Amino acid sequence: MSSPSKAEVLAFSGPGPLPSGVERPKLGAAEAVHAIVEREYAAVWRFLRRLGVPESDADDTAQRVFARVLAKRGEVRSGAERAYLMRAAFRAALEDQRARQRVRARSTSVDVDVVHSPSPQPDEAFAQRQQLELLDRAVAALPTELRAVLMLFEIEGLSFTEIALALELPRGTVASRVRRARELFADAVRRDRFRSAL
Amino acid sequence: MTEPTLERWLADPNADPELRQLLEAGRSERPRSQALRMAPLVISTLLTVQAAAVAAPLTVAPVAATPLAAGAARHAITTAIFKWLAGGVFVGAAALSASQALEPAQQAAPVVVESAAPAARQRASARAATPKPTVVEPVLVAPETSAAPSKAPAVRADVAREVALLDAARVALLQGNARRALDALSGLDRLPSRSLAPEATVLRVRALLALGDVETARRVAARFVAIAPKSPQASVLRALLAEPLETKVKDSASPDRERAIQTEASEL
Repeated sequence: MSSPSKAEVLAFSGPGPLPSGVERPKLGAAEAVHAIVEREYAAVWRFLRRLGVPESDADDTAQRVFARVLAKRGEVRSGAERAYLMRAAFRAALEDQRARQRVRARSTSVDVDVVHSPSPQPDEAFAQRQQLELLDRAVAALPTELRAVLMLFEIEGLSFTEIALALELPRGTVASRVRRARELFADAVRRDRFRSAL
Repeated sequence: MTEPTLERWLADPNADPELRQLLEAGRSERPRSQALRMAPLVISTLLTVQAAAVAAPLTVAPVAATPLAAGAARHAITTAIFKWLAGGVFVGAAALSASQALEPAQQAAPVVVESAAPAARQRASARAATPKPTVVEPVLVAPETSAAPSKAPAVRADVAREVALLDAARVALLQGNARRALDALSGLDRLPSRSLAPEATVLRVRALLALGDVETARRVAARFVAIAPKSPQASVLRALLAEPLETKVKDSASPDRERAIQTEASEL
């Protein structure tokens, strides 16, 4: 089986003459994008979800986050892609939060819960969904900045250095926020446990 | 190394079984498999559209001879592309390269620009009256400087029409009407130029599979995979057909291969 040559693949991506200033995409660029997206998409999506982006919007938002960061791939230090993605995700989540607050402010209807609870899916384990709902309730009690730190540290396993880069904070601040976030998280779970025991 | 020390210093919630269970639930949550599968394609498409917009901004076309009209046309096309991209099931396009999007059209007939301009102008004036906070970054942001080919608006009109047809096919598929999806895809043949053939191929294969025509779907997919085996669409096609596709195209000459993709719609 003879695989098409590089020239053929490039030709397929646009046989016409190129306007001045436009370069043909380099072979491998698409693969690189593909690899980063495959590696990091779930993490960005999870981060957005825990920051309160509804499940219905999480994919759109995650895609925009990747497009923003990958468009400036030249400015992203190799190996720091995840931190940059999380930075963009944090900003996008804040934008999303503000947008939803504006909608709520305009709306006269009942206040919408910050934590989105998607309808149960048949393919999802009930226990898992319950755990996630409890997690969302607990982290919703944290200020967004602490929630972000906790999620990046505990869920996504970023180092202090990476979190500092992602959230544009000094490392010492990250450490103190992790500690504070852990305390508040534990308190929130305890409170939830207490309430459900009543 | 200071981080291990800091970690010890901090009260680790993972030491508490209940907290650990919650955190593990958070770690194991994943996007839906379809969204995960399509994400690379959608993001590649967004990147390509962004790159195309930066490389060749819209120029003022005869039909859009005022800045307002030019902005309106840009808005119309942006909206069309965004609507397509934001619909739920994506058939993105890494192979939609900047060069394709900017390829000069064979006919300079900016039909969509003409028809879209009045409505878009109304939207533009409505936006001017009530400025809306930006939540979504605009995909097609044309810088003020840098020259563009004079036929760019016509090309964009074609792209917008193409996107509209692909959108119709996508919606039909979402509604379970594969036959209507194929009808919409056949409308692509009437366009003077095509930039989104790879996306059309993925949609076509999905429609064929939905109709149970696995053989034709496999043939269409195999032809595409032979030409662009490393493209994101090839990955999608492989996933759709759940097994590796072998190269089955007999003719291996490059121009023929291009033509085969461009005309594959008409053969179905």
